[in-house]
Amino acid sequence: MIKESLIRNFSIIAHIDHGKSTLADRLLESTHTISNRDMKAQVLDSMDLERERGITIKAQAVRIQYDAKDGRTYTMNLIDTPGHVDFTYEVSRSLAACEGALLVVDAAQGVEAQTVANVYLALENDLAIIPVINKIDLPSADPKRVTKEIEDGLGVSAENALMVSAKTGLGVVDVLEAIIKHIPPPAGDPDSGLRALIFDSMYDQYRGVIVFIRVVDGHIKPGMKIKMLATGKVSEVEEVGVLSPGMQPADELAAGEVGYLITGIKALTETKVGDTITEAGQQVRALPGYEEVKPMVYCGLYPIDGGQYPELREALDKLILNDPALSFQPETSTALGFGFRCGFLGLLHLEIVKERLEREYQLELLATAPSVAYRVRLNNNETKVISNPSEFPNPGSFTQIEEPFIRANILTPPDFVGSIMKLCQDRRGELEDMQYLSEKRVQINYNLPLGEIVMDFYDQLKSNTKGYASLDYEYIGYRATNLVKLDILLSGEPIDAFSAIVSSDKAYNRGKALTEKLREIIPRQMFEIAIQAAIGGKIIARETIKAKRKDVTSKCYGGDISRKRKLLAKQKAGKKRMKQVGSVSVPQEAFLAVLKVSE
Amino acid sequence: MIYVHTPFCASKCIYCDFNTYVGREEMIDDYTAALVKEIRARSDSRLKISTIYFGGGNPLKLGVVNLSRIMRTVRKYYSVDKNVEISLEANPEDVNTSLLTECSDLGFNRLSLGIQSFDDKKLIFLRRRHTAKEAVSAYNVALEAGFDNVNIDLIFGLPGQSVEEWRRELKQVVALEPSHVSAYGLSVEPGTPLYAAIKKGNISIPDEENQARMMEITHNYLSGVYHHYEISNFARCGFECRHNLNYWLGRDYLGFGAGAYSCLNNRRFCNIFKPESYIRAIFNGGDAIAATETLTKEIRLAESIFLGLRLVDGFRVTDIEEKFHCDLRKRYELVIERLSAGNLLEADKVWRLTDRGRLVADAVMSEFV
Repeated sequence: MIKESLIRNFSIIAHIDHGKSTLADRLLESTHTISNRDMKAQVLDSMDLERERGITIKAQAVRIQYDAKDGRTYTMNLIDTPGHVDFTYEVSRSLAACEGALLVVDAAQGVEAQTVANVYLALENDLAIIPVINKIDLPSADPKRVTKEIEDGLGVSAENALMVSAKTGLGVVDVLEAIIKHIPPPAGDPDSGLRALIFDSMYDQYRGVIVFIRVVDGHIKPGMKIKMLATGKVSEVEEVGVLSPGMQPADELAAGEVGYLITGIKALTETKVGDTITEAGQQVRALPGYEEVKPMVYCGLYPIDGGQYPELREALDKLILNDPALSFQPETSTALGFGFRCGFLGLLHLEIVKERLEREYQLELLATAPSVAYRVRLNNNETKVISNPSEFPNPGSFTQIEEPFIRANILTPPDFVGSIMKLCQDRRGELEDMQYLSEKRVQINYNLPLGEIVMDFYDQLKSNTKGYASLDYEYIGYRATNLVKLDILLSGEPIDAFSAIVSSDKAYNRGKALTEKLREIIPRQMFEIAIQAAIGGKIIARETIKAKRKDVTSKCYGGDISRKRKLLAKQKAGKKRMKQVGSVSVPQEAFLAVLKVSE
Repeated sequence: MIYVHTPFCASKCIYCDFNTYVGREEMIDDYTAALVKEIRARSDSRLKISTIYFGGGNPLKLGVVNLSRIMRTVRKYYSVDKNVEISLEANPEDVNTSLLTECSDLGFNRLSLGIQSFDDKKLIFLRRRHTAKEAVSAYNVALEAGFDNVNIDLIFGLPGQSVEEWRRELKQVVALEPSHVSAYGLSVEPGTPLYAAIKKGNISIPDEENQARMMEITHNYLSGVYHHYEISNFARCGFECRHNLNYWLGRDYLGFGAGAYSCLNNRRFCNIFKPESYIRAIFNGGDAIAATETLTKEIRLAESIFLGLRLVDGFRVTDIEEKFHCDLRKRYELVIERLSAGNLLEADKVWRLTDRGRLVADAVMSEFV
């Protein structure tokens, strides 16, 4: 058992590309946690997707042994956190497993929105925060300004901020010393009943569920009967160990320690992040902060080749083993056939799931426009939750509709304030406040419907600000708004995959923009195609795609009939790759266009 | 029916993607010898030959002596019909009265002149080797030499061509009163200089609407004078090209020479494309087959439909149904319902494209493959 006074548990808070993973790599290197031979860039981001996107999706932990200048050897646990608003809850649980955090800010870029949000989460969890200004070797580094931004924007004292270049290794030892000096050791009671916090878990096909835990009180060892307080699941500990960074079995994990746990549990749904593990039969209070994770964003996923539906189901079944935040249920679309309505934590989560399904399971998928969960108050006073435009009730059958709102926190150089405000107003935003953090950084807070955010808001924000603005948000609850269902008809047939729930103020412009966009995307065909937008059965916009005029190879191909037949077959296959909606062939981009159309 | 390919040309036209080569004259005698050997090796006196077609390339490049050797071989090893149609493709710059008289003596009774345009500027652009004037005189020479069945090939949809210009070309061809006219839309094939130039943006061809209008006036104008019997082909009654009709009716054919296609007993195969490799293969004592395809019932059915639809008279449903033992109407129920409703296809006892359908024939035909 390690004395708690010699343990430090910390995490790193940073905006994407501010150097979190590089700093983590340096910490591991300079403490010989990983030999240079095994060092690959960004050890902690183990998924291919994470490396490619430069983001952390799954939390990870690693144990570091550090011989400090005071002559003692400390055990440090670095708990890496996912860095995206979609995973706010997971971040908060990882932070709850720590006593302190390194706040890494890029010396040139300054404070970004994601940093703000995560610092607040850390403060809520009473963490000690050590500001680290990274990349000070850059010619454009401006540590003075960044220090001011940390103080004014985050309310964190940055007087003793560490000046570091994770790239060159400058200041890395100071970071290790500061962790010992400024982050308090764990203060659990090793002698009281077991309480351990689950901050992550993963599914391994050979070993079942591997749970990552922080022991708060007591200890945990193989053979012990344990209980998950929230799910009530009881099981026996098969193995505990530490991550250094590979799994290293240990005799036990005691208060203050971080490690992994393997029991006979096979389903991630029974080991929920934030849940408290206790010894079965003992009465202890649950650790605070546990929440049920609910999907915030929904979309339909359909195989482009309808024959791949069973494969899609199988892939989702497998994926959910590792990603219990994902939810899905079968859904049928007249335009797209059989598919699944899936619920996600947010847009990034949606993208990751889609990409993993396509990459790891070789599926070609079509995703419908993302939507949120609306609450409809029906005439009989019942409340119905809908996440699909097809469930939208008939006009007159309900009294009110509510949609989820978020509070957006946007950080930007002052030049772009105007265009950001215009974007937010266009998206039905209400300005809450605006604050200059430094002469180069403005913080803007808007309340916005989540439904507006899921429609390419982030892309628009980035393109309106040349990529300089950063965004984070938190949910602030439901509000009643004026919503209608906008339908798109192709040659008289409503296409459910194009339907959307939109604000009544914007329905007309959106309908017009969408019909125009579809006219550009849908190729001319053998017949004339009418594209119409309708609200409640009333046509509000129409475009026409004229029939193809000429499509014939008139030259004589003599005996080479096979070639002609193959060309015709290719032409037909090209058509097949499109979705056949009645007599109209609709290219896949058309379904994506719904997401990109601006009113 | 027999097709004989000559893969030699004096120069390559800008749009040409046929199996032809420039400057291989030294090979011509060997090539002819190989042709003769192949024709003999594949002989089958049971095969009744009612059409023979010499195409290319430029068959006249072989010379009359070689043409005569080939013709003698065909007549010796196959049962050539008394009323056989024997076509010869020729370029206007190559013909003169004595040459054509000799050809006529060899048995050629149909001449297909590659005139393509009556506009000198367009001819230069296309890299043809004749002028409009030479084209007209070549036609007259053909008549003098006794050819009463002469086809004129024309191409529309040329870069910079207006609908009016094309109308003038049609007037000119009708004024010559040939027995047969083939009016093809320019097709831009990958690998040709034309394709590269268009891709680079150096030139552009008329847009879809103008091409459609050119096709429409072709059909309207020539139908008044000729029997419009296939998408691109017009003939005085009785002068339809029987050789090409056989392709469209799905009959078997024998192709001799480099890159020539044959179709026999539900197998389609083609010879090696390069003339020198073809010659070597034949002289090594084997065949020169480069690829073979077995035509399944499905394939033959699809081909029967799309080839049949090229014919203006279409095909009788019962003919196809009897041949393939299937219920055509049921099989394509939804397709024909849509195509008929859209006025692209007449699908009664006879299936045929409407005037509108003919302009989008590929899109319609692709529904059946």
